[in-house]
Amino acid sequence: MIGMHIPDGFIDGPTSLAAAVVAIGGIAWCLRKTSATLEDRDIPVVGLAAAFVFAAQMLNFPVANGTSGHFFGGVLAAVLVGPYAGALAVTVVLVVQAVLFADGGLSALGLNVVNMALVGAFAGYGIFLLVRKLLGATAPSVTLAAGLAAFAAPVLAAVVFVGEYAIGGNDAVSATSVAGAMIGVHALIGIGEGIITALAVGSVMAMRPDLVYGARGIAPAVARPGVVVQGAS
Amino acid sequence: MSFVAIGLIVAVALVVFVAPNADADPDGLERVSADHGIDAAAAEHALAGGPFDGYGVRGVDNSTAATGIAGVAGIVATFAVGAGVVCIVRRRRIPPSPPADLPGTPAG
Repeated sequence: MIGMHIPDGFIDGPTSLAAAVVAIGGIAWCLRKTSATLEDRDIPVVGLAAAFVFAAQMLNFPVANGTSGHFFGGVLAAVLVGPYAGALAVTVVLVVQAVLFADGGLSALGLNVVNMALVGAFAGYGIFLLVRKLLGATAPSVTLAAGLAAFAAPVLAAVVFVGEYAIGGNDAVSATSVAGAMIGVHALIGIGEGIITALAVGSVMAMRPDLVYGARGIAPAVARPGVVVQGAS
Repeated sequence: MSFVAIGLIVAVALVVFVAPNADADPDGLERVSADHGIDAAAAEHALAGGPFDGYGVRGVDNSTAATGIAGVAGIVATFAVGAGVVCIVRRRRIPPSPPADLPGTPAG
């Protein structure tokens, strides 16, 4: 089974609508911030972030008996192109998945955007900054902080989902009875998310640290002629 | 080769060579939902039956080939829309050039 986001019908109409309103507001804000800060040369990198997150989300990996996990990508996108463009990149992935591949319900798009794009990119980037600060601002700490923040992202998404379910889910099954299993399985998924994110960020840091938003202001581990690391923005 | 080109090639290689071998089990959300019966109300997707439904390709029976084709289609779509959206919002930000005949107009 490839991918698998929240389908139609899991969460009721009013809650899905509320999530859609939050999602639209969040995306509008991200568009505004991106238009103010993005450079021309970042445009293809944002496209690449979306394309790569999409591709990685097709690689379901085993996490437990009879259970797989898929990549989320919010932290990877945020560390590469910043949280605003990163959230947009993941949103593009979710929209394409819902429209082209019937992965993720159309009425659940707001929920999926909130959980994976907004929570993933913003809460994830916040954790990344905190961990990077604790580790000290070096190139290896960018990779390590990204991996650790990425571990947390699916867990946070699961917590938010349980909250959405508590509000608008099937009354016959309580949120508390589902919470443990849902959050627990996403902690396992977080391990895969952290590893994949660290590998991807580490690869980019080795080739083009100047393209990593989360590395701005940090000296590269090895001075590379012709590569300029941007000052902190 | 440009960094972006390398990244796209890696993405294509992943969907062509690795995705067909992806774990076939339901993912964590679906698994827990099924175990606890919260997917009882799940509705069929409004766009079910589309050409790439479920990351396959209608008319292509070989699942390995279908996954690869669907993956490449998704990569093209997400790259184009992702770059396109930020390109459009960025264009809107660039202010129009001031008229050339006004004295004292600052350059740029």
